[in-house]
Amino acid sequence: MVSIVAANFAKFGKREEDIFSISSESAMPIVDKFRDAIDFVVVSNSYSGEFNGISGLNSLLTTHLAMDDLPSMRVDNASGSGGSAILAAKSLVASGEARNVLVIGTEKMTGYPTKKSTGIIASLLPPEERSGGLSLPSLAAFMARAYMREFSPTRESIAMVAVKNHHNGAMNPYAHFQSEVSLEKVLASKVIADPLRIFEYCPVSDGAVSLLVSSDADSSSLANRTVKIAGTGAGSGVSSIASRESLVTIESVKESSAKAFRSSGTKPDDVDIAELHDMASILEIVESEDVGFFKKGEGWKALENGETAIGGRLPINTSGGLNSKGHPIGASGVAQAAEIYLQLTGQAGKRQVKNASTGFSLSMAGFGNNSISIVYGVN
Amino acid sequence: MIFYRCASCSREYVFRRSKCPKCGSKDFSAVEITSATALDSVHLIATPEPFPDEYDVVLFQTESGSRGFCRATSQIKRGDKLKIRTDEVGILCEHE
Repeated sequence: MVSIVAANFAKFGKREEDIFSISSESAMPIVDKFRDAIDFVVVSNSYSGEFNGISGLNSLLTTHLAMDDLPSMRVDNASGSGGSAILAAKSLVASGEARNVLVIGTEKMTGYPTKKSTGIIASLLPPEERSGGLSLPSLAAFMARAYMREFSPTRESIAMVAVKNHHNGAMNPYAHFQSEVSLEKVLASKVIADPLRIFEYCPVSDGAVSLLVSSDADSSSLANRTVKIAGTGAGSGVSSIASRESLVTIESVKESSAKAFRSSGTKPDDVDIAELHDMASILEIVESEDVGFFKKGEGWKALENGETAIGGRLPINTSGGLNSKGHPIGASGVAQAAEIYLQLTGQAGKRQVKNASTGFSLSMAGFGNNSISIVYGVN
Repeated sequence: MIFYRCASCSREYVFRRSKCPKCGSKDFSAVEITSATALDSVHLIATPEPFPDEYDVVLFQTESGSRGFCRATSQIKRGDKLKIRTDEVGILCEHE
């Protein structure tokens, strides 16, 4: 078994510092405490070339952190980089290649006009589809429209994702947004891609988060409170959105989740808390169904009934999610794991979920081009 | 706009592939698409480079059943018949 023994955040948001300083802010407390044990570094990052003009970020970072002697790699899987980095760290430990892997999820994206960042992120789409003027936010709008036609949710229920996640983010000191938002304000805010509005999309953020992923032989001697990675699953689907049979389901999410539940010997009903990839409000609802938490077409009802709020049957995105915590792309999947670690070890402060013992995270690349699901348990 | 038609099973792809995932053939022919029907459209305000600041993105379907996306020069509704063409930045569509 492989466990998470430490997690540390650098605040998400618009940061003045460069990517090295932000990364170091998240990593140094772990490096200072566990330097002698760490024997590998995995850096989750997708856009250091495009946004920062930097390649080979992993080696530059290990030098910055005075760990020049340690082997490292950079994992880039677009917005699923974080999940892939944890999968890589787990595999390094499970194979015996390493015993204690420092995972650093990091991205520095702000400082550019929205049009430029939207264009950079849209570069993950097939060129033949991108040339039709497509962007990730517009895909979410197509999904919302298809979902509304097929399942007739209330418009309010979709917007409530933003209300819930801003509420949770306001209790997370590392979140980009630190304030709540009312349903009325969400529904009156600026349209980005009809019908979805600005509060229903994640912001462009900078941020970093670090984890220490350790072997069984090491974890108990390194920390008292640890969280095991009970199961993982990776799934993939066609990158061409137009070629998909349905716009209201994401095949890679279904596949990765089924694998993660199978490998952990758990089922969706066992999960106490989940972090999903809510780049847009509608995605949280669709994913909550595709993971298996709710029947297809009924995720919006669960949300409307308060089942996914803190205090509900299955709190989703207690961290604030991408919607409120922010989405520094390489950091997001690692931040999901860090939130589950904080929750399962009772360190989540005001947003703590009582008696949670099984967690779940979904890290998704692009618009579900591939997905990584992870099930966590208490050691 | 070009779609790629498998020479063996006739399946069409908007995304160029080295091999047909359906039948395994590596032979494709380029098919020019000039008309289609709108399946849905989204009015997009926050647009990516290098496109204009505001437009409708349209999901369309061709007569043979293949689907793609285009940028509309006017408001397009579900079911509208479209003419497809390209300009210097990408794929455009307008009412037939």
